[in-house]
Amino acid sequence: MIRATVLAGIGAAIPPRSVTNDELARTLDTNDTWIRTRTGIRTRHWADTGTSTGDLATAAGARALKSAGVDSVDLVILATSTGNQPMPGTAPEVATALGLGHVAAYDISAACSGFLYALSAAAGAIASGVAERVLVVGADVWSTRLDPQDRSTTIIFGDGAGAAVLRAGDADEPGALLGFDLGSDGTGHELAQVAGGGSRERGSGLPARPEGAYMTMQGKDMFTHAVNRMAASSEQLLGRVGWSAADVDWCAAHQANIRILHTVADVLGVERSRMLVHLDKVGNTSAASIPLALTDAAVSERVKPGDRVLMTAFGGGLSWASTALRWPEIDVMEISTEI
Amino acid sequence: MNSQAVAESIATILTDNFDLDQDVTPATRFSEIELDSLIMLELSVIIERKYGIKIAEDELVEAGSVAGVVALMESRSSVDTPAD
Repeated sequence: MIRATVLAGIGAAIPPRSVTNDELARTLDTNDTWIRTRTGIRTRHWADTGTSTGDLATAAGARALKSAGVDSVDLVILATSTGNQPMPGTAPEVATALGLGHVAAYDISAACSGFLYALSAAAGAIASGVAERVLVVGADVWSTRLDPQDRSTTIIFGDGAGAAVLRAGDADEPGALLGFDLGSDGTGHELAQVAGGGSRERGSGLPARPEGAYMTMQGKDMFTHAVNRMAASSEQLLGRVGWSAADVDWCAAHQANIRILHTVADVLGVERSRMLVHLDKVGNTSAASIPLALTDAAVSERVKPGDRVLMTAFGGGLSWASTALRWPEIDVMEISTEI
Repeated sequence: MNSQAVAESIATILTDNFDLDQDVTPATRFSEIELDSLIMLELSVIIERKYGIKIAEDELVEAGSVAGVVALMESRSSVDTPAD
């Protein structure tokens, strides 16, 4: 019998510095009303000098371990596209910083879908007996990769980290991950990218372009793909789990844009009020957005034990993923700003 | 479902789903409504999902009204067999 993977704890962290729309409007041709009506974002948090993705991941991981009431795991999986450096992965540093010893630790690069991809990897490790308990972290510090002159990305992205502890358990207990739908489409890899810094650029024989270090995004194409992919992936997953759209108590969708969340709700047939919204406070935090939104919703007791929670994500790659669970009885602490 | 019903349905979607400054009918000119840059993109996705007909956002704008959009949909494909 395949062992189930059960959510045992969750936690999150954001850097303390809040950057408001008005602050961005001082240097960019934009304003608070435009940003709010087009994205739903009111403020985002950016890391101060000296704070890395690993630092945020460690802070979130510590909270998740505390939430689960444990001080050891067998595996750490970090979903990030902004690791501390191109090589090695950042997960081993995070494991060490958390005092987890010589456990297995590796990074996953799946952009904004990364957290759900990492959950599926954790579920695989638990099902195969590789691990009994896994720490999954989604963390990104996109502020280090934003072109300050590029309005299309700078207003949207924030820094943050969210983490979950998963354990082996039974399929019928609350918190059990009920299935996955994962997918990708490499034909869209240029729609959201950091073009430079990899083997494609370095092997081109051409000098590196400074702007290649920045993230660029084709906003309208990403908008359309995000709605279509998250809606289709959610429908696949719901069918597999045996839930209808009306059964979904909460949808924790990747926090890209409030207009995307509303359109996903409309095409799925889920009430807009059932979509968890956290992006107004933190912007798009990429791999961290779903665990951040869930932590926020659990702390404020919107999401309660027993609630049916659908998670769905879409991001660069292109990549998409969905999973679902019934919310377990777990202690959840407020999102940390102590990094 | 006929063309008129599709037009009514799309007009209702625009009225109900978006925070517009007036109710929309099939005949309402898009130029009379305050539409921000994302609404036609959202409508494009909704029409594709609901009716299986892909119409780009700039084509929706050019269609000028919901009635114009439905005419465009009819020219692309039959609207007699919608997804729902």
